[in-house]
Amino acid sequence: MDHDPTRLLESTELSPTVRALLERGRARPAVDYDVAAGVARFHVSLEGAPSGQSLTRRLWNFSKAAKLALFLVACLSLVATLFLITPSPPASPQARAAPSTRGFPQPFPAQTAPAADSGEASARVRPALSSAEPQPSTTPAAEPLHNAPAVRVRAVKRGPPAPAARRSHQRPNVAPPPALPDRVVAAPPLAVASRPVEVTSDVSQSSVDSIDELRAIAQARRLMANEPQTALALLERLTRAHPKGYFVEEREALRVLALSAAGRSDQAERYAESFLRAYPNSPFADRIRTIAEH
Amino acid sequence: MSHDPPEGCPSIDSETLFRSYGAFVASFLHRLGVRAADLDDAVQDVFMAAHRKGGYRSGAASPTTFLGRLALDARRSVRRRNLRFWKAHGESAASAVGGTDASGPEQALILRQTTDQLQAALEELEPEVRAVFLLFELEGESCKAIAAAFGLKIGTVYSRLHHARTTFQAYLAQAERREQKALLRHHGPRPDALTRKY
Repeated sequence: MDHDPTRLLESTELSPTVRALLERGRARPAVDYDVAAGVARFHVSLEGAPSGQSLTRRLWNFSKAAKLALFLVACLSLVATLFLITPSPPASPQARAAPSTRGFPQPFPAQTAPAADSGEASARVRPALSSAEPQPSTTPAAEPLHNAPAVRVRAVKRGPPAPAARRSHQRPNVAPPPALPDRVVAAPPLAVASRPVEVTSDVSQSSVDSIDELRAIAQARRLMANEPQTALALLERLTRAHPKGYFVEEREALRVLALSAAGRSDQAERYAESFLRAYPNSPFADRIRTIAEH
Repeated sequence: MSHDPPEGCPSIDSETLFRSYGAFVASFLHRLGVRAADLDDAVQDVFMAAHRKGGYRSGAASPTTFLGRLALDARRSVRRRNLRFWKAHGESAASAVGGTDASGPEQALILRQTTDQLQAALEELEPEVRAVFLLFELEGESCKAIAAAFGLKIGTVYSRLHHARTTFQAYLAQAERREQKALLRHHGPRPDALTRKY
């Protein structure tokens, strides 16, 4: 009140006309209003009229707020769905350069080796293709391999290139012949061991790649009982082809089981521990935990 | 003004408000430009709105500013209901009503002219500005109470008040000059005007 400006009627420099008008306006009401009649009508209007914030009005306000909240949630869900549906670009140039996994049972030609592989690995693979005899430099399966990133199955290599689906119908069991372990350039256990288990839930591959990945997982599982080394090689190949695949959990679980089946208990335990850290609630957890406790 | 606010009431119910401030609300609505035919409905709207709010509750806003805010809202709704009439007759529809407290015909004419002149000057102001001007200059309310009732910053109230005063006085000065010119045209210059030095 103290900071309010001086009222016009309290000002000494006010013109007589303005002063007279303001005094008139302050002294007398502008209209003659019959308050008693107004109150009587007001009584009639009040019958049944709620006072204050009635329960109905509060419910109405609450329903409006709930509708607004639902609308916002729906908008956010739509945006999130669109974001997830949109295919993401390849994760890295290495993944882009990796060979296509369409028809995974197809043999791994030397030119399809990942670009990141060393030249030494390529040099090791090419002679195996050119010669019919097994290479003397081929490392035995039981021996740890440090620099052999690829696996080659001769029986599969000889087959004509065909779509994966048709081949899977013709030969549902594509297990290699009994001599296969001798023909296998075994998978690189140490290189695998030095690579940590990748934990990711991002679907970074297309649906077609996911189907191929699943097919490879199924084949590795079939090979695991009788040919654990081959299964390991397939799993390592799968790791390179789909480093952030959709079935990483299954792949790593099969790797632990295959290592255990191959008698490589130390590596199996290491992989089992890292697997249990990454997927403590996995359906494979019980079996993997059994291996880790041994 | 003739309204008698209840003394020391922290909260006032709507009926008591009506009895104490009914005349003020009617006068305020009239000065905001509500025509006589809509005045009773507008007054009822104001106090029904006050009833829905649970009456007046003591706070920064006074009962007068509280009802002034509701009256401004009621004026908007009345204008919306009768938009066709307002478009046809303009803002001066309420100027036909005035207090009749004169002792004789001549006094009544003077009062009527004064009332019309005041209303004409008020109608130069926007309704929101006019409400602030009326509450501050005629009702004697503080700027703080006005700001609290209308949900305005105190600076906005000062600004509106300044604008209202300037416009109000400028209109009256211009009206006075027009009147003097008209007198000169019909009756010639006043005797004192010939000797006045500027």
